[in-house]
Amino acid sequence: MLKALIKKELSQLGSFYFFDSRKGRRRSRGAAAAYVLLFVFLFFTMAAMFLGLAHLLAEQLIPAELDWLYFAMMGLTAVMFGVIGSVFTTHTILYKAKDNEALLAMPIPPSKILFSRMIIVFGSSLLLVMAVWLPAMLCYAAEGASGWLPVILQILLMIMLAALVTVLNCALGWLVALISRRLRSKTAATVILSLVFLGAYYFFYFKIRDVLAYIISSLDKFEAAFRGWGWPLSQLGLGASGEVLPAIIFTLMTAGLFAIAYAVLSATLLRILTASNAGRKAVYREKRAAQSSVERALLGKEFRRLTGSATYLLNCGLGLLIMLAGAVLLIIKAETVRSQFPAILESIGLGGALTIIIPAAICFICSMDLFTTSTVSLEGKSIWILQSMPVEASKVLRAKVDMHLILNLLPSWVLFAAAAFVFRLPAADAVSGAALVFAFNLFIAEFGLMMNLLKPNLEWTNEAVPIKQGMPVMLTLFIGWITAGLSFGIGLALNAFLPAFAAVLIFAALFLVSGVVIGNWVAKRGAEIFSNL
Amino acid sequence: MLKITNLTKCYGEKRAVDDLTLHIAPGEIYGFIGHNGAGKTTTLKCAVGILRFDSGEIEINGISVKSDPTACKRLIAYIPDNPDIYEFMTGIRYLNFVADIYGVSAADRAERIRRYGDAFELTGDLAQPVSAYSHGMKQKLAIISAWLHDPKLIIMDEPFVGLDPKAAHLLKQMMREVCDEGGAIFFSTHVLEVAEKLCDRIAIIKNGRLIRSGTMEEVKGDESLEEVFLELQE
Repeated sequence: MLKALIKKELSQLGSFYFFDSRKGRRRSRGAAAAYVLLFVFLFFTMAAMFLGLAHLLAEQLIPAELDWLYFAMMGLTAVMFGVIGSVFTTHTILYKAKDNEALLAMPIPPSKILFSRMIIVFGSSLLLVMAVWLPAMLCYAAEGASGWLPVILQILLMIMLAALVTVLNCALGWLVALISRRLRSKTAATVILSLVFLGAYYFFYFKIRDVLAYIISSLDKFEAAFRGWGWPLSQLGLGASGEVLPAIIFTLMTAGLFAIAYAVLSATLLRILTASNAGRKAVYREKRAAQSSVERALLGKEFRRLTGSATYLLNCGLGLLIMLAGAVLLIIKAETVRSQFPAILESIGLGGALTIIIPAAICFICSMDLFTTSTVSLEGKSIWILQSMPVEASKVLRAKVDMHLILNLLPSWVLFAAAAFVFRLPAADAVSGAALVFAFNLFIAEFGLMMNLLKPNLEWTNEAVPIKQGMPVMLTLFIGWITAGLSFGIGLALNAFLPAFAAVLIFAALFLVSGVVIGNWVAKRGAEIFSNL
Repeated sequence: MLKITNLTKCYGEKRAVDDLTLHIAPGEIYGFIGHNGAGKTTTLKCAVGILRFDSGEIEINGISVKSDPTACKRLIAYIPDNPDIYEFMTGIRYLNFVADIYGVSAADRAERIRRYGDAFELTGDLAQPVSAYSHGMKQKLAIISAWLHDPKLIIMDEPFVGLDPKAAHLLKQMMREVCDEGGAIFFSTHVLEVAEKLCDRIAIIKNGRLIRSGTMEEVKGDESLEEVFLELQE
C-alpha cells in the first residue's frame, strides 16, 4: 500500500519528464532522457555555486585540522538552503492535495498517506542538501583527506541532513496548517505565519553562523566552549570527518526527531484534513457591480489567483519582499554601506563598477520572482473557462505578463533608487540602470510565460508541482541567473572601452529586444498553443 | 443556428469523431446520446471552439468556428461535464468576471444574477468561495454563468449531473424558454428519459459515427428511446 502511495506521489512529481500533457502522450525515450539530462545539468550548476564557498572554508579550516568545523559550517549552510528551497511548498504537499478526499475514502491509514508525502518532501530536501554537501565532500577530498570510512559517513550524514530539513519544513507546514485551519482568511494567515516562522529560522541560523565565524577568528578561546553547547553540530562535523561514534549520535538524533515529527503529524493529519471551514459563513449582500473592461477583468482574475494561493504567493513573490526590505535596509544603513562597500569592491579589483553591479544584482533578485512560469499550468482543469469565452488568448496571456510587471517593477525600481541614492550614482548611470531593471523584468516575464506555454502541466493534483517543481520554473530561474550574470560579467568587460552607463544600456537594449521578440511569439504562437491546450 | 458538417477529429490513430454531420435549428432542443467514449464530449468541445478538429466545418449562425472563433463564442455558452470553476473566487466574483468578459451591463447582470440565483436557491451562497461549494452548487453556478449573457446557443455536457430534482426541473424550463425565444440548446446526456421528454430532435452516436438522428418520433417510432438506444448499441 505504502509502495503504491509513494509511486503515485513520485509519478506526479516525475510526470513532466515522461509525459507530454500538451500532446496527451508519453514522451519518447530520447525526449525524456534529454529532460533528465537538463535537470542534472541544472542541479550541477546549482552545486557549482556552493563549490566556491566550500573551497574557501576548506582552504582555511582543513589545514588547521578543523575538519569538524568545516563540515559543521557546510552542514548548517545545507540546512539553510534546504529550508529556503522547499519550506513554502511543504504545507501544500502535506495538506493541500486535491486527492485528499479520494485517499481518505480508501482503507488507507492516514499515517501512510502522510509518510508518502513526507518522502516527497524528503526527496526535494535531499536534492537541495546534495547541492551543498557534495561540493563540500569534493573539496574535502581535494584537500588530501582519504579513506572510505569518511566518505561513507559523509553520505550517511547527507541523508540525515535531508531528514533534518524535512523535519524543519514539516514542522513549519504543520504549525501553519494547525493555526490557519481555524481562520477564515487562510491564504493571508498562511503567508504571514510562514514568513514569521521563516524569519525565526533565519534569525536562529544567522546567530549560529555568527558564533561559528567568531570561533574561527578566536579558535583557542571558543572551540572547546562551542563543542559544549553546539554539540549536535559538532557531532555532525566530527562524524563527517571520519569519527564513527559522533556520526551514529547525529544519525540517532535526527532519526529521533524524524520519528517524533512523523508521530505528531500522523496523529493530527486526519483532524487537519477533515477540518470544516470554521468561522462565520460570509453573507451575500447584493451590490451593483461596476462593469469592467475585458483587460481589467482578466488582470483582476490573475491577481485573485495569486492572492488566493499562499503557495503561489510565497514561492513566486519572496523576491518582492527581499527587494522592499533591502531598500529600507539600504536607507537605514546608508552611511555604513556607503563607506564600506566601495572599499570592498576596490579590494577585489572592482572599484568603480557600482553602475554595473547594482542593476545586475537587482536583476538577479528579480529572476527569483517567477509569476509567469506557472501561470498557464495553474489554469489546470479550469482552462475551459477562458478557452470557451469570447476573448483572444493573446489578451489572456497579456494579463499574465502585466501582473508580473506590475508586481516586480515597483519594488525593483524602489530598491534601485535606494541604491542609486546611497551610492550617489550619476544621473546617466541611474537612468541606464533603471532601464536595465525594466528590460530585464520584461524579458524574464515573457521568457517564463513562453516556457510555461511550451511545457504546461494542467494535470496536477497539488499546485506545488507546477509552481515549484516544473521544468519551466527551473529553466527560467537558470536563464535569469545566467543572463543577470552575463550583464555583470560582459558589462565589466565592455566598461574597459565604454562608459559604464553605455555598457548597462547595451544590456538594457538586448533584454528589451529579447522581451519584445518573445512577447511577439507569445501573442501569436503562444496564443495559439493556449487556445488548444 | 449550429451547423456541423463532416466533422472528423482524431486522437493519434483513433477517430474520436468520424465524418459527423448535424444541423440544429433555432428553437430546437437537440439531445446527443451515446455510450461512454462515443465522441459526444469531443464533438461538443469542437463546436465550442476549444478543441481543434482535423476536417469538416462548424458554423454558428453562419460564422465559422475555425476562422472566427471569438465571434462564435460571443453567441454561445458552454457548460462542461465537470464544472471546474475558479476555486479562488467567490460565486459572485465569478459571475461578475463572466459578465465583464461578455460585456453584460451592470443593470442586466444584477437583474439576471438575482433572478437565476434566487431560482436555484444559490443567492445566499454567492459570497462563499467556490472551493466551499458542493458539486451541485458548482453546477448551478455554471448554469447561471451560462445564462448570464443571454446566449443564442447553449452547449451543455451532461448538465443534469449533480442537480437536485428541483434544480433539474428548473433547468428544463429554462432550456425550453431559450428555445421559445429563438435560441437553441445542444446537450449530451445519458438520462434517456430526460432526452425523450425534453428534446425536439436527437442524435445517437456510436464509436464517433452518427448512427441515427431526427425528431423524437423519427428516431424511436413506437418503441421507447431506451429500447432503440440499446438495439443500436449492440
